[in-house]
Amino acid sequence: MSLPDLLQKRGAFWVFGACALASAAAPSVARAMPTAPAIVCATYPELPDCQGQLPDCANCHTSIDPPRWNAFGESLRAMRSESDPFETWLPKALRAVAALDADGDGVSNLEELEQGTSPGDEQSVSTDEMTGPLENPRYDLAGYDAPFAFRRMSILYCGRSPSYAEMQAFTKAPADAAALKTRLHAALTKCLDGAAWQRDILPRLADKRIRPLYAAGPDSDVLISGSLRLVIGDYNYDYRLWRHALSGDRDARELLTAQYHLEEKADGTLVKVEGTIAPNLPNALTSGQPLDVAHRAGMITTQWFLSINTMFSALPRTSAAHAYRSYLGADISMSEGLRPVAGEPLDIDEKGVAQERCAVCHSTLDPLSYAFAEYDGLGDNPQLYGTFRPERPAELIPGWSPEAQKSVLLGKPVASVVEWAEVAVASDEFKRNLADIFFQHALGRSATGAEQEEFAALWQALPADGYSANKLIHRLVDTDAFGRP
Amino acid sequence: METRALALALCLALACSSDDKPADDIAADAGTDQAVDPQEAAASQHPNLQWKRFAAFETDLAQALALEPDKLCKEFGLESCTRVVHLAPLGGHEPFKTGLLEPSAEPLATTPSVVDRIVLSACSSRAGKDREAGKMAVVFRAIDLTKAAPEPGSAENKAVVTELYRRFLARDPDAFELSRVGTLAHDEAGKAVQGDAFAALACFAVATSTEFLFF
Repeated sequence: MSLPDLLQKRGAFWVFGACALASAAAPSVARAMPTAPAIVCATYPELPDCQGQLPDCANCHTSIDPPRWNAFGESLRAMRSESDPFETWLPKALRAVAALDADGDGVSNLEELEQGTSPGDEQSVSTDEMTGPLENPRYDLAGYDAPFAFRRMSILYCGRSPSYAEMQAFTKAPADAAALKTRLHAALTKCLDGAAWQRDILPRLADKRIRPLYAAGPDSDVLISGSLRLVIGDYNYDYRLWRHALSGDRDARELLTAQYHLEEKADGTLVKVEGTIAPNLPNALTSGQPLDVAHRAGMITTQWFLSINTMFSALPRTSAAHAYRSYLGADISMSEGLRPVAGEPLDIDEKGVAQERCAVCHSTLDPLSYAFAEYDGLGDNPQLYGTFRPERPAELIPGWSPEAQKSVLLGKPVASVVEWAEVAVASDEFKRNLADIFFQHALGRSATGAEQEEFAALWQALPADGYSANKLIHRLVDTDAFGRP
Repeated sequence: METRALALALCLALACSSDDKPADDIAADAGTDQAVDPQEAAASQHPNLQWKRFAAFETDLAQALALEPDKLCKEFGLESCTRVVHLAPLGGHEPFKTGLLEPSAEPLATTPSVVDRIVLSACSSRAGKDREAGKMAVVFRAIDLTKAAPEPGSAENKAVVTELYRRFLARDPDAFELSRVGTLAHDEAGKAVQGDAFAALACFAVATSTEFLFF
């Protein structure tokens, strides 16, 4: 059996296996409803969980497969109506239980949703209230502590702590809030322009999005067919675009809209390369960037992205799901970002995903994926890896019809991956995810419910800031979450 | 106070730390007028404390002890403790060959012992280099590392502690800290240890403090 055959069968096994497992474990009638998060947001559009995202299933569920509910979910289920469809009774039930306290933690269900805590989990509480003593001679525990923020900023963005002399200079008179803020941002600007941030720290934030693999990357030493190296793409192009788009006050939307590539000069500067790039690595199975310019969409159409994610899939669900996860912050495997499309999944490749348990996610995932089917992943011809071939889906999927397989992203029809990217970068989800990347890097976690207001202000300022990641970080450093010890 | 301010201003103007100062001056510069018992200071009520991960940890340790990063610690004298052998426990990740796409969210079970191992290696290395350097010592210039450690409370003892606080924590120690760290000049029996042992122990104490390891 050839490598392509083996991997193709492995992919099919996982789809079928997951569905079979779900079916075997399915209780008789109870089921999770993928439309529920959107209904919650339609009922309460101002909730923090509805700003550039959808609420987590864990607000109601302890498990979605098989479906089980927490105290809040059970309180809603107790009000369900056999005669009303789900879309009708859920909003009524949400309003009916709003003033109740399902988990008994002393905070009403609606207040918990408004605070971003879980109404069905008594351990989920707001951490904003300061109840204990705040006297600390070294830190300002009650407010924004500028020296503390300066040290944190230096470690995060310069990669080192400030020296004694630097700290003395930072706190010297006049040390009023305005003076300290000016010094803090001046130092931050230097850090963001520095090598530590741009070459060492920032690229590491891309790792889980690029998913590099040495054995199949540009430096691979795995030999096939004699002296040919197993190179299925060069992820250095991906890292360079990431660094470029997220530094120097450039427009971060170019992560998904760039139709250029970047080469690195000896001094580390990046230079744009227009057009296709011919194979440029010695003894490599493939390399360069063969995709024509018109069909490029930044990080999600590089040769590496398409090779490592699409691989041998006829319908590249992994590519679409990974793009959705990486740049819109919704991990479908965690039941996030479910926006079912009516009539989906069509199960065009006969993987069994139309079964009810599979359809929970695939009614969102499959319409996300159709546009990616026109791009080659791996196959018999390495010259085609990462290229655009509109005939590809029909070649690989009997019954494929462009009229029936229409891509939908965030409820909007998209005719191509390029349009997919345009809808993505115009969304709140993109902005919110971008802010979350840097918030998580700074604080090791996403914003808490109590921090949602200042977090929302961060990503909502992106259009006014020209989608500059640097400006986003400057705003982040000013938040209480960053500067309050 | 004017002397202290002047010394500080000069120091800043020259972009130096406490280089080339006698022990008495260094101790006099330190902010010893305020004693803070950690037990009495209120703790943060926000989940914001961050773990200083491998790269910043290595850089800070090397910067504080004026050592090359690759000289801090090598297992079997071959592989970097921070960049290779203990990368994951120190909060790093290596996606290319190990497939570790993200760092650990929390310190691992082995993190404390790895931190101890690296800090002890680095502190011992600096103490050894300064002992050999004699008057050309870089960090532990205030005392003779080949002789008995200076008594707790003495100017030389305070100078060592103050130098370490400035180098690792970018601030002066208070009286409480000077006193506590200074006691490392004596062993459990109350007998003075040798200067280089005091230097390494005091260095280890400050560099494994939560203030150095978290931010």
